[in-house]
Amino acid sequence: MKRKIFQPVFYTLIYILLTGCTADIDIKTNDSEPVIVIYGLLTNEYKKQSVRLTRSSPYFSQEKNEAVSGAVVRITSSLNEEFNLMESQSEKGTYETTDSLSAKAGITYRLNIQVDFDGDGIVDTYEAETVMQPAISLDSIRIKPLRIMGESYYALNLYATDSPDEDYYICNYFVNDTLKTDRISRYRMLGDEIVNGEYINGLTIEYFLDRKEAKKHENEDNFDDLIFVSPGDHITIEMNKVEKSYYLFIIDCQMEMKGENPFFGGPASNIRTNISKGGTGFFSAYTINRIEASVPADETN
Amino acid sequence: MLSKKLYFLLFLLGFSISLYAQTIHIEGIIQDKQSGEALAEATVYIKETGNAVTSDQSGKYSCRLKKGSYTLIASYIGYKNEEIRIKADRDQTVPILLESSTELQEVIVSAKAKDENVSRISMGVERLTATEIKRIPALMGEVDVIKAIQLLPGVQSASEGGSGFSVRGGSPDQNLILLDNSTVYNAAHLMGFFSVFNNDVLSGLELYKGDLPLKFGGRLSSLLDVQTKTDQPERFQGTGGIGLISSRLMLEGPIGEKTSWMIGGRRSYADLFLKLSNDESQRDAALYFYDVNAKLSHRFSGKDKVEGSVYLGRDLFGAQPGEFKYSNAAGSLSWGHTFSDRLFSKFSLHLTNYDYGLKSKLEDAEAAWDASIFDVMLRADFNQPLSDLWNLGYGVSTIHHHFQPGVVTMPDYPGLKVEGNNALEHGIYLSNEQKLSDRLSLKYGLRVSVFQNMGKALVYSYDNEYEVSDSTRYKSGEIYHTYTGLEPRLGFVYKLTDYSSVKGNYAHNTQYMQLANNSASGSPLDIWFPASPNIKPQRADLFSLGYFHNLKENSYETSVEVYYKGLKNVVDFAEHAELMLNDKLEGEVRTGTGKAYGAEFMVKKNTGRLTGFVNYTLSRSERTIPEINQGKTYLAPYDKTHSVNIVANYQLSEKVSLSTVWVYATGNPTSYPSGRFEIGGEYFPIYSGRNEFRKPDYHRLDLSLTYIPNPKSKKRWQGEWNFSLYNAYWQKNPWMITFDQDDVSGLPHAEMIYLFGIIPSITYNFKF
Repeated sequence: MKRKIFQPVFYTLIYILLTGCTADIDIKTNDSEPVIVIYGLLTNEYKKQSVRLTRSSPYFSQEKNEAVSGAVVRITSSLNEEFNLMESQSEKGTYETTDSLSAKAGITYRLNIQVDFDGDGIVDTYEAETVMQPAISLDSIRIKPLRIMGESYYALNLYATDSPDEDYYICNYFVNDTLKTDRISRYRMLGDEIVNGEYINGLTIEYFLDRKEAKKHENEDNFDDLIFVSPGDHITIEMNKVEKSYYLFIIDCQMEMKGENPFFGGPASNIRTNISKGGTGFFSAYTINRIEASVPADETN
Repeated sequence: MLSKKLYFLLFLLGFSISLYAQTIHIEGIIQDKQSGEALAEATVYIKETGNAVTSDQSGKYSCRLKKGSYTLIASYIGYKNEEIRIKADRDQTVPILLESSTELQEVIVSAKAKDENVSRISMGVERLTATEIKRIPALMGEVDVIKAIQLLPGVQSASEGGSGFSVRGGSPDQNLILLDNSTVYNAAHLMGFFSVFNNDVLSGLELYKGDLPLKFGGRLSSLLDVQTKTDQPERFQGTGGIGLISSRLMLEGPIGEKTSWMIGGRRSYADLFLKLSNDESQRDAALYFYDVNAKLSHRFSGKDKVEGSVYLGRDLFGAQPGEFKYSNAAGSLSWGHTFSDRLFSKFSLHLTNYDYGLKSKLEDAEAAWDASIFDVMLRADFNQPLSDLWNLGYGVSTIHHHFQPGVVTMPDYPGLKVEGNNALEHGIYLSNEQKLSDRLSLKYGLRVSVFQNMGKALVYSYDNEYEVSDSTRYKSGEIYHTYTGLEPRLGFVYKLTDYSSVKGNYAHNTQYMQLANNSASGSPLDIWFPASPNIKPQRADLFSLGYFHNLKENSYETSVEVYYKGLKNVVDFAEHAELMLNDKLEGEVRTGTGKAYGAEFMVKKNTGRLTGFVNYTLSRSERTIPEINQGKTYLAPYDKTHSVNIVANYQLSEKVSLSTVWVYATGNPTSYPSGRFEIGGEYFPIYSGRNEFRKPDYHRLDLSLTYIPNPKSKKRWQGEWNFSLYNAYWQKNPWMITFDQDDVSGLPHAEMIYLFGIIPSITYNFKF
């Protein structure tokens, strides 16, 4: 949050300053040895919980990354529960609990995976651990039209009590029940450094563009990442408290996916993980918090 | 036009004067070029007559000569001889500036001893005059001091078009940048595309590539010593220019005989064009930088001179959602006093401030972020030229640093404050220059530096995992940690012939503060932070050896220098370090060792219609830090194996001169992903090491043409046009390599972003 609040300022600046040109370029890199990629999220939603196992590939490989099949995947909890996850028949590399279940806040979950990943005849074991994050209380949200630099926006203002702890949130947005933040690069990340422990009294946490502005943005690179709304739209916000380590994993993914930025951010670095033994990816658990609102008519024009 | 009759009359008059007035009166004041102190009992020898006169207590000399051309040779012990050609056709004042042979502060190229390349003891020193800098083709016609030094051997630009520079493999924050001896913490305007120095107000600059004069310290790699004009104008005069990016005006003049003043300013006006934009969002934007330099000097008597100098520069980018501004301010007040003809002194006070602020002005999300660094420095420097064996320099300096790393304020919320801290940095030095024989000269000395952290401060202790284990609060004014450094520096020059010499040099430098910067080009948001109980000072040992040879009566200067630099406690940052607004910044620092070595070749032609230089640098710079790159040695981000710079100026006619610059450098080291993993259809990189690859090589040609419509005009107003082309053959030099996913296959591919195509510009410059 601490820098996020200045993002509109940064982006305006960069937009005005940098009208650099883009060209494709061929670069040569090493091809690294594959590593196992493990990604699993447990939530309180009652469903078959799943973990996905894939194999990393050379960066410029023209093949899609392969699934890892035939693994023994098990989750145990601090309540001494044990769940065996079976590989899905329809989607190789995805391992699901046999029954639907919801994970519980405050409980520690341990993931254990056994597979001969490198094909040397010896079973490799990978582990990860997470503490399921609790629900938070959100009082309400309000959507308010405003104009920025001559364009119509809607600000999403949050009313909630922040806990005195360091908190980290990942926000997702549904417009008329369609998930708009449907991939890691679109997740909205919030920390509470500036508002820690206070009542959050209508702070803007997101800006949506009015759908009537969409045409102007059609040619922009990030058009698909923009969220457009119209008066009367039904908005659902998911504001999920997550572990700091998972929050950092997502931040790393977002920062690193396009390479280095000469102004901000440091040298390219590997994305942090909680998977043991040289694997990468993440295993985490959180409680889903949802709150809803409608987009009002824009009376600023 | 004068009538022929009048010409005839004047001719007669002139003739009669030469017949009957017989002698012409020449007078002037002999001064120390750097401090302005008047030099009493200096000798002026008139070569053609064989006579000599000496200056009086106020430095004044006078002589009578028959009409004709003469060579005056002024000399003074401890100073270099100065030769001046005069045309004695009327009574006139000829001021003479002498340059101390210890404080070699070159100001005007014509005043420099012709064989200085060979005879000067210091090595690894580069100098450029304001005139030379002006001739170099510039990005958008904006004459730029820092872009000019990036063309010197051993100096690399840190990023395309940027103001950051690396000297002999060091990082940009290892350069001490001084403007009239006051520190400049961020020498960049407009995110680095232009420098804060307005060439019109400068006399020139010197860059010391490691062998800093003992007077200065606190940085490992270099000293960039930028001086504003020191010569005293005889009348009110000015220079200026109108360019695409900015316009400039500098005015100067005397007030009576003893006082002179100078004021200069620049302002960019890109935002004025934005007002014409069709895009409503851009119309309201403010986007400008400005800077102002002012200087006032007064000579009380032959023995005392007082000078005040001020710099203020600011950048502002503003639009409806908010604004971003940053500014540099530097001021100094100095008093030069001549105790005797063997003891000169200078006492000075310097203030410097750098701050930045970001503001979000959007309703329900108003916030402000501010950070700054503020220094007060006092110094006293003495020069005592006693004999060939004892030419002493000594002095003391003390600086109070105040660091404010960042405060975020938000109405109704607690905000965020990274606590400020203070430090004192003291220096004391003694140096001597000895001329042992006509061939061999030595210089040596010692600088002792002391760095003290001072409360009020909150200091964290860290465990082996860099997690906070404890914290201690110190009261205001309490000294809670002290470092000392002994910095010996020595050098020799051995003249093999009148035109060639060998020089050698050793220097030990200590650096007590550094920039929290992790990105390639740096940004105005980078903050300085000091050495502390957790961060040891960075240290460097620099060895260099060179061969210097001048050809054709010093009209060609050539040199070869080799250097080796060993670095200790060199700073880098942990992976994913959070450098901004982080009160546990010290926990992100990782330190280790580094080394840099290389060879620099330079050929420079100073006279004739074609002037300029060609240089080639072969170098390597690497770091070894246990927690970075799994402890394996990696290339420093500024390592460039090969670098070639060609700068040529050709005077085609009195009206037209041409200039060209061609630069070539090996691409910067960078990290490319070797592997990737996929989550939800998106690909993320896996790296096998740091800086294992290089960006494509960089090269660029710039051209410029200067046209003076009336070079022989006797009018006061003289104008010239400058036309330039930056990146004349449209080389697409990558500024940034990014990775994106293909729209169809979804698989990742590489793209480069380049900043500049061909950029033409036009500037009108004038003087009066």
